[in-house]
Amino acid sequence: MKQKFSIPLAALFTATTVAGSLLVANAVAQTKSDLAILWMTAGAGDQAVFEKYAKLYEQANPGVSVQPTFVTLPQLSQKLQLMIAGNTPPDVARVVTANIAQFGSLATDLTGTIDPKDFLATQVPYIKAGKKIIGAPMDATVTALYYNKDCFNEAGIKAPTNVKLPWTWEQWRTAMETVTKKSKCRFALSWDATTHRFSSTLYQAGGRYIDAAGKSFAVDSAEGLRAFTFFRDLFKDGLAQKSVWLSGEDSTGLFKSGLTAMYMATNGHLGLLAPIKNFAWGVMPMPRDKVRSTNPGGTFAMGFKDGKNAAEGAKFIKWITSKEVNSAYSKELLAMSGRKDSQDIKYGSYDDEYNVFRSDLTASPSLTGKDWANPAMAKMNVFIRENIVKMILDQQTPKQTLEAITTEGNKFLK
Amino acid sequence: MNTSLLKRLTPYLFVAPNTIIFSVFVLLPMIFGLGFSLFDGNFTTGLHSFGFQNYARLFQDNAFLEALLNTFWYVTAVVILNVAISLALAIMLRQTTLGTALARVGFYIPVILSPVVIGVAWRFMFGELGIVNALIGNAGGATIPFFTDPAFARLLVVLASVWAGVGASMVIFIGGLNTIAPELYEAASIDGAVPNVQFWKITLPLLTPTIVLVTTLSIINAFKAFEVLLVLTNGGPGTTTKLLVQKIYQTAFDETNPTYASAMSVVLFLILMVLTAVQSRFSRND
Repeated sequence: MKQKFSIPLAALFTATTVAGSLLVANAVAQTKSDLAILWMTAGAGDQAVFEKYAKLYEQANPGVSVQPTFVTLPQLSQKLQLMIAGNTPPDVARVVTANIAQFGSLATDLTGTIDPKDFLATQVPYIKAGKKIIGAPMDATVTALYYNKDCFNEAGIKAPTNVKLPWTWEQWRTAMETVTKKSKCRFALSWDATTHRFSSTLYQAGGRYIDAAGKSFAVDSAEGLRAFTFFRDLFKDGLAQKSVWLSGEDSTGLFKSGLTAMYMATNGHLGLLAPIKNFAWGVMPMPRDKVRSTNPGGTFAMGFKDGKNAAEGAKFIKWITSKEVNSAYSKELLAMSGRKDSQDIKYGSYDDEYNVFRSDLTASPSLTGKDWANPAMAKMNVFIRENIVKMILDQQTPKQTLEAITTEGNKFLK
Repeated sequence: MNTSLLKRLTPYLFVAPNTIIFSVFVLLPMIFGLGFSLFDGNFTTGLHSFGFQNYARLFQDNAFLEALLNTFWYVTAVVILNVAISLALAIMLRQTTLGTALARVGFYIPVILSPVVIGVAWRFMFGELGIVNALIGNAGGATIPFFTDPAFARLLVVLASVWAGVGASMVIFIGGLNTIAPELYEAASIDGAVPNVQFWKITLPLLTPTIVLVTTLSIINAFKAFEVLLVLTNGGPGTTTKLLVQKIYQTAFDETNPTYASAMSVVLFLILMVLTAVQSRFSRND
């Protein structure tokens, strides 16, 4: 009896496995009318906005089916690498400054489809790779400084309101010391733990990572030393929260708790902070040292030449970065459009904040874009962050940190 | 097809699904990984033959050696605590009563929790805004830098990992203890052996195969630890709690160097192979 059933049962097991594999393979196979898109979002809200525009594109282009896969920023690079490794790159991806250059060699050339002149000067270096146009700016981001108005009022501190007269680093430090002494805010500053967020300090001091010729690392300078020392001292003196940089504490959560007076993030965080009800908050212009600067960045739509539907992908990029679509999309996301002719977007109750962001962006030197458009920066991102952490831990001095970054960085430039 | 052929095929058909899945999802990636470790480059720049240079580089790479060292201390601490605590729990909860049954469930629950949930829960307890620091703060004390002080961070990742795994080891030990004949303890009692002597002279020797099994499983699991540490400390402060698996992941995806990461994976695989071989040898001797 047992034997009678064992053969069909074993055959059934095998058949089920094989059929299951075939079904999965069939499900992932892309048809010609599918437009495979890998879209980086900050959360469910962003996702819903993109889905709405995906439907609009389908309506305008009958026969095309937009197939989006959503990822968050920390997953983006890994997901793209795996898709490329598996020979199934998307037709279009939304990427950030840190990885557009990284995938540049695989990008669809958008020359003739996209005109760089339509976009903000700060965003153009990222999309040019030699003679190729490797993407189109979706939006521009800036490193931005948020503050807790309740704690500032309680401590009797007035945040600068004139965008042309921001605090100097010294004034900023004094405010940090005062706010923790005279208000309920236990922590002065929560600073997002990324190399990109840190780097505004370097630019404010008048420094840069890579020289103008793009041939070698130039961070080991008097300006670089001043920036790295200032940053290290904020942690050493208990003003910036160590746990964010040292062990991945949630920097946004620290600010949202109402116990942190200031938060160094980006304009993209405005949407995340909007639901805060337990205290009033605002944005101040970025503090200055030798020069005024933020660290501009942004997101970009890029096509992949080996995508199954690369031509349709290029068409989609042209559509979503057009003035009409991009302005509406940026407004819904509370983002700054990457287009020159879409800078008059009104954000309602957030217009003041956006005036600050735009002013910081305009004041920033163009060398910031040149630094970050260099593929070496994508490769150095983690290394720089790890060395900053070693500096915060007092395992190495600011000078040793600069030397380590220069030595490692020059390996990539050679 | 005649009946005898079908009869001969039957066992192969039964193992076929597992063999197919194992081959596609384990064996092939392992072979690819081994192959990749002999190349340089990544999937965007292309791969170039590199011989054994990735392996030569590994042993001059301070970051890799630090991750390896971190892994060894973590494995040592977790395995010792896991075996000792789970054995103690098993002895205490060996008898089945309502109380011990509930206690067993309580100790086993962390095993079925997602490692990410465990990491988040411990973060909620010991983080900057965590419950423990809130209580200390409310009592007027200075907050404790659980995740920014290297010693505290090491201690927390070990405790969280032990808490997460001790239930599974306890169940194995209870199974092992139940195979020891009660008559042995009765005879020992009649001869005047106190519980302490019974433990060293009866329980421990007869439980050796189970201890070897639990130790081996704990070592293998500890070497593969990733999620709890990623959520809890993200390898920090600095690189104090960055273990080999996180280093491999970071090298492959953050530093876009999958070929070098493959070489690291091969080293990890070899370490685990050696440990498994040692365990097999011990088991045979038993």
